[in-house]
Amino acid sequence: MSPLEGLAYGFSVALSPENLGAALLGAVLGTLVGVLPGIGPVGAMALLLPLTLHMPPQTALIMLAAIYYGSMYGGSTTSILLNVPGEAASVITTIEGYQLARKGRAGAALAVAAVGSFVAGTLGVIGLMLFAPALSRFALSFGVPEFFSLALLGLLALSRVSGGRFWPGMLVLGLGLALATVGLDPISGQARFTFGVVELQQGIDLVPVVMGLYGIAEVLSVAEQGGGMPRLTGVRLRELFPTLDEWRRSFPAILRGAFLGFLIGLIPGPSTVLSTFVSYNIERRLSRRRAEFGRGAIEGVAGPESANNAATSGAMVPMLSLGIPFSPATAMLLAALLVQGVRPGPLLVREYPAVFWGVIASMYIGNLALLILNLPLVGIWASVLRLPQSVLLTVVLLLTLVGAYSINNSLLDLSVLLAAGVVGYIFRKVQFDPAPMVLALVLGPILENSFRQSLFMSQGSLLIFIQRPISALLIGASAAVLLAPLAWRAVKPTVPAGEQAHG
Amino acid sequence: MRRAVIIIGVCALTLDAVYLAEALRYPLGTPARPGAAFYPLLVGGVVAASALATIIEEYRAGSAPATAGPEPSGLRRVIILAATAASYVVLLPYVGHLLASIPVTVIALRIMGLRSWPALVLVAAFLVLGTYYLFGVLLMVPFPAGILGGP
Repeated sequence: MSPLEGLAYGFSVALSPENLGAALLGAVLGTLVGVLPGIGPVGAMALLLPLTLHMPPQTALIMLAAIYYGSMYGGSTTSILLNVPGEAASVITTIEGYQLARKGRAGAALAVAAVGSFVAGTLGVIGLMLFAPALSRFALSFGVPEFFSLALLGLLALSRVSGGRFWPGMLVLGLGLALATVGLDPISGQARFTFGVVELQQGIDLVPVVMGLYGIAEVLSVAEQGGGMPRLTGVRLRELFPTLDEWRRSFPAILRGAFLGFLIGLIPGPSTVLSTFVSYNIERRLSRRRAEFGRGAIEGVAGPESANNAATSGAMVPMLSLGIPFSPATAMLLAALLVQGVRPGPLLVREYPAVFWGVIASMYIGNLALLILNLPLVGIWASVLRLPQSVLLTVVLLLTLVGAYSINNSLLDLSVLLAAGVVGYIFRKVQFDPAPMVLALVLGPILENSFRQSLFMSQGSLLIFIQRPISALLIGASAAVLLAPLAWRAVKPTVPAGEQAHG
Repeated sequence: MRRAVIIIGVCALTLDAVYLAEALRYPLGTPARPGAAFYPLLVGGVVAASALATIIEEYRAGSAPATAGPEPSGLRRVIILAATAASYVVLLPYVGHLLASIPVTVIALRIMGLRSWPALVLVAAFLVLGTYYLFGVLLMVPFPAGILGGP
């Protein structure tokens, strides 16, 4: 099936009433999640995953994917209007967006963010449509050593990039890998770390862990503050349309952001967040009006808001074509397919064309719907913040509890949820990023299986990982991820104390 | 919060010791035929090294300013809410969803700042019945009946 034939087939799937409804519902929920500070796209996807158990796999993926990319649209609204990022990928938008709002250009900033998100989102989907099948074909030549090296690279890169500090990141990663070994040994069938609890033989389910780390932890954090969250006061949207000059300055930034965001999305790590920081720095360096940065430069909104949307499409490439997620959000998309019995990977395009092409086509529709939802209706979204936080967070708590139980009708899952919630809260307090734990739970079994099978193949020689070219390349990249920051620290010029103080 | 990080490191080391001791009970195999304990022992090693390095790193950062921990009243709210959520898990098999979700809903609404009791009762009733309708009726989740025989 050529990309155009695939797309035509995908539209026939995506335009069915239930899939269209799922895309629109996901877009609305994603925008809502993006607007509301606190529960981010990963928590929201975990929260809604139990509802998707009753849907066909393509409908489930269409809805959850729409929440993922929809949250990138909504995130800019509160960043611009309130100086409060709705989710992590919109933090950078607060810098220029809020300054523009203070200058009376909130409408222009919101319009540029929405149009930029739409353009980059659509370009990103084109990239996904072209890249993913090609990568799938390439990945058919992968053996178990390559999958081990790829999973290792994904884990190391995320723990290196996400938390900031290396050892805490590795600790969280190691704990996640240890949790992933609970259950039946995939090769010998021996029960491990079950301590006599029969239910644990199935292993620890990803969904309650994610719900706990992101959902319950957020509720506990807000409870600590006594329910205090930002309130919307006196927002007026003057000047709803950007001027010609603002458009002229924004469009190159949007295109650069789209390109950059998609590429960053392909690599392991918190790509949506990372892409906004890289895009912002590039725009600041390229701008002829660098002095305006920090005081309301429209490029500083256009670039990052486009980049985070394109990154969501880029991040779906390895998940769909290799079956390996590189971020917690794509891990949730993978989990949604796995619970339906669909295993993403190189054969997904061939074996489940409705899932693959259906979700791609739905992303074109979803992006268009999001533009309509976010541009003229921005005032409605902003007013969502007037909802009492007490009710909103109690809903989250109750849905998390009931949702976690409903996946396997298991009380063990509820206990896992609560334990993960407490751990997630503590991680927040000490600024440990939980993302490596989530990814380790997903990639841990792949890592162990491929590692042990590779050793079986090589009669115990670790050289198998560097004797095969693709695997060697990936191991080299893993080593670079591990060692490059240490090497940089060793060779970087030291700045004299006096200069540091004045610089 | 520096002390908290050190405590986390020590807890991780303790859990890891239990994990490694348990792993040693499984067949190790050989490098050519790795057994069920082979990979967990490697993972246990990673956890031990990372926990030790985190503790040492935190201990060495002695002169750096530490961030503040939670206020006692805030921590109390967190503990109450976590305990109430745990009560749902304990009560669910005995009294069913409807009764088990009442304490957690009421206490969560109160802690999050809903002060008016009539509003609280109305919202709590709506949320409890709403979640039951969504999951129990529409999605047909089989909640435990409980000793009262209800949903």
